[in-house]
Amino acid sequence: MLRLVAGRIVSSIGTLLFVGLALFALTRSGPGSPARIVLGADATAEQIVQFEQAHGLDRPFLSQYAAWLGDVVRGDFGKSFVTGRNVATDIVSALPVTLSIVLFAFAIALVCGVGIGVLAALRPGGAFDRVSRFAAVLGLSIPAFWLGIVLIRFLAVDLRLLPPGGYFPLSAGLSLHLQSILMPSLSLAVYYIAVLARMTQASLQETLRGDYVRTARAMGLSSRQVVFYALVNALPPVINLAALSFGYMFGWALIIEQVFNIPGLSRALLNAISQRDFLLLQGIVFLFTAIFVFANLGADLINRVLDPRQRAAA
Amino acid sequence: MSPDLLSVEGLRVGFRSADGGIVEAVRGVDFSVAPGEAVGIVGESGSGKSLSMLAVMRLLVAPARVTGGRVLFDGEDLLAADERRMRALRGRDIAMVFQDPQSSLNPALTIGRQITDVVRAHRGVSSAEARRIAAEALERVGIRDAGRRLASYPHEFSGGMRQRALIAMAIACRPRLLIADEPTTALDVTVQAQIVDLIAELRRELGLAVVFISHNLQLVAEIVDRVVVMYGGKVVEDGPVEAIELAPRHPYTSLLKACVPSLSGPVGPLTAIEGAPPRLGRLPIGCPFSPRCPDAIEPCLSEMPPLVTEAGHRSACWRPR
Repeated sequence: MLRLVAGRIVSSIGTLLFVGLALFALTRSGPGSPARIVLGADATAEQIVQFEQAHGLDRPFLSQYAAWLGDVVRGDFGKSFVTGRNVATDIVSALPVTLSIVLFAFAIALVCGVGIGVLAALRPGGAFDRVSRFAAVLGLSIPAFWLGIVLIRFLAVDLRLLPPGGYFPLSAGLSLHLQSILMPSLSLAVYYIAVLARMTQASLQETLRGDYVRTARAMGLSSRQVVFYALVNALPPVINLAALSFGYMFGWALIIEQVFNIPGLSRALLNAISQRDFLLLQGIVFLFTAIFVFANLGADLINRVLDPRQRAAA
Repeated sequence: MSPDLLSVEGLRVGFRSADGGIVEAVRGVDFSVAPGEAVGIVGESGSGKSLSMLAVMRLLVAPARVTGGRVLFDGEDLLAADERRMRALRGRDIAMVFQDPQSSLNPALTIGRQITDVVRAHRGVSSAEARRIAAEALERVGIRDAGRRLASYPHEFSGGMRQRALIAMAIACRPRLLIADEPTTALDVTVQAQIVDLIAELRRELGLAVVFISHNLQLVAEIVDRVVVMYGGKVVEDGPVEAIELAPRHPYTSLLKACVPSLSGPVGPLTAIEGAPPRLGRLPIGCPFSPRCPDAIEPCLSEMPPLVTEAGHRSACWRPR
């Protein structure tokens, strides 16, 4: 088991290194030097060369990458050429905002998605199943940003139940915090509720047909236990999908943050893109990649623990 | 009240077909099981034997459903019982084990968990007591070192051991009736004999009544008192095992007997019954076996023969042997 986990962690790190390289190449292949942005259009060619030398931008590509990577391993994402601020500090200050929205949305998606999926699977073709199918198609086709605007229109503007935007950290009080992230998280969650509900429904409906479920019924187990017997075997694909969803949510959160005017990573990222702030851009995207890779690693490990055959093989 | 433990009367099971009609797969089956008696139900695939017993357990899955008849267990009509009552009876008074031990145990849970869950579903005992009962049941079905084996997962058991574990689940609460649906079909021949012996032994020790479903008449004959032969959703013969063995009345039974090669007699060619079992919805008007029967005469094709009882031996044939 331990060797297997170690193997998966090593391969995840390999993925990260490769993504880091690709990311590095992409940021550097775009037009425009950061020197031009920082120094302005009037800067002389000499000044630009000087700036690039000072920040190591003139060194060979791979050596730049190696130096950056070496710093990242030590937790140092470098100092922004543009703002002069420490990239890691910038990320750490904005990350909790994005993280709280994504975590809340993920919790909503997991609870509602799996719950709806289970209820729908219990009576295939029943009223709940049919309504949930329809709702799922709706949930899959509504863009999150549009849903966000609609929620603002009704819940904030018309009914005045929730603030239309902005963000309160947890330190400002739990109630304020939840009020400020409820609509963003909900808009973000709807798509994933639909996806997870469909997957749970399909997987559970399949395992409910299993012979061991018939055995459980033949032995007089309660319906709740019969469903539990089927559910433990239905979960692996749901867990994998949940991990992917968690990773994707960070991408969508950027748009949601714009809709609700929330000072999360999106603001930092959009600024980084427009200002050619390579180091900040790399730092944020690298962080997202790491979250994605480790979420999938986590799903893998949970599934291994759930499946005794894999546990034994390890 | 009848002395029978289980009495099936005129049981019918049908499937709703695509055109809205009902195709019957079990067409009026009668038989009974006395307390402690072992009855074999024999027939080819599609004869309706498994469906009948699933109907008894009320475990039919849509689109199959009971379309008629009564099932009396200890005088109580199971077809009229509510699901709550059935849950209480299943596993406690009537238990059923199935054909494929490979897929009939939950791969994600330990053997011990699965047996204790059954015990705790029916008896308000502590988890420690449930484990003790589970270990005892596992030991009784011949698994050595049972206490430690409770922690094993199904994939760590061989096919024969898995079937033993399933039987342990079935007998853990000391039911009065055990229904075994082809429990040996998926197993090696040597293991088959062990499982058959185990069921015979449990029956003696626990006073269990047993319904043993099989397509193998020879195998069933070793442990049962009585054999019910089914064909085309009907009982075609039902009698004491000796009578069925020595003097089967229905041609189908004698042909079925001839299909299993004798180990002691001279070596001859393997026999098979010509043709195939009737397809659902395409059953002949008369005796369902008539299209394949070597003895068929005119009334066989046009009219279903009634079940006639003679000295405790029933058969449905116009030309009994």
